Amino acid sequence: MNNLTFRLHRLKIVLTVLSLALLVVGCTSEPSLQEYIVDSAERPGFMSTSVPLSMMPVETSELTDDSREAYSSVRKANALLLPRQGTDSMLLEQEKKKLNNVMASDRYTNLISHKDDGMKIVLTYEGDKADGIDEMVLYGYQDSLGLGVVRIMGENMQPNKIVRLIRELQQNSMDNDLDGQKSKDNDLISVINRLKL
Amino acid sequence: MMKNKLITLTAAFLITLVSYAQTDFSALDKLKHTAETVITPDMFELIADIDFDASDEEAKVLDSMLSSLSEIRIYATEDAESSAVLNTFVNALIGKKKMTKLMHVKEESEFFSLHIKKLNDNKVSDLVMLINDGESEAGETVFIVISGNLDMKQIGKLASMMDMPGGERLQEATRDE
Repeated sequence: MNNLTFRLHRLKIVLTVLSLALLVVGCTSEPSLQEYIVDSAERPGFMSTSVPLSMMPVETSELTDDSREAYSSVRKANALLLPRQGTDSMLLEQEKKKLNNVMASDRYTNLISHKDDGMKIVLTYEGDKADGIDEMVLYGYQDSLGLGVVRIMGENMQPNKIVRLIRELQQNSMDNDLDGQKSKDNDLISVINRLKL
Repeated sequence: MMKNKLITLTAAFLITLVSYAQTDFSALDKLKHTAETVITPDMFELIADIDFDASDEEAKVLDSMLSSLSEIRIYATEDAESSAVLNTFVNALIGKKKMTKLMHVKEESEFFSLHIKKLNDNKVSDLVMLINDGESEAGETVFIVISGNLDMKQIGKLASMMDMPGGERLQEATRDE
């Protein structure tokens, strides 16, 4: 009887250690997109850029509360590119696999995906439906062009509020134009328009 | 006590039934030489509460439609093998969901069919379009499935706006009868 409890006890310890080990392995074997981008950015062939939103010339005092909240929910935009030109095709294949692995994590919710021979493009996000988006990611590759990731990071970004914010900025800049003052907001608006946001 | 159990069991059964009603498209994931486009329910959920500029007539239609859509999938291939898989899949889907054929057109080398699953008189839960176009091996197959809580009249408008393959046919089919 005593022997049995002892064995059971030992089994419990073994199981606990095993599950802990699995947990650790599980965590480390799933590199985050952040890690992937940071690690890759330093390697030859890759290009990367990061734009904090505070660089955008937006006059927040003119905004409504909702829009100000939307504005402050967006932190920065970040891009990583591996152009096909000048890149070894083996490396491109390898990176495609790596990126696919990173993005296969179930913390991402796919929104739109398109794939065809030698190409794939996916719009996906991380965050909570109710609270908003923490990270919006567009990634993909095309064998003739290369591979790329673009992401917009923030905290609880609400798409409807951001759309309203953009409309408000457009309205404000129009009003400023009417006043005869060329607003510096125009730069942002033209950028947004060009991006067809 | 027994009754309670029965109710729980029935509820559990119904829930599984509902979740099974979602079609499984994983069989089409690995099709060779096939273009696949998916707009997921999460996308429609996410943009449902965005109010587009309502001064625009097109945007108004789009806005009301977006909230009624739940998923769009488009598959297109020129590969004979994948085309066969697609055709088999679509026929099985139509049979399994007991969908009704709204129309089919056959002319020259093109075959087009449109099936719907009706919710009631003017609402549709699923819409399946299949286009087979090709004289010989080099044909093209396009399969489109749209699901949601759709208004037949709006579907035609959607097709014309999105410039979807088969859009013209769809507009013909959904024109006021």
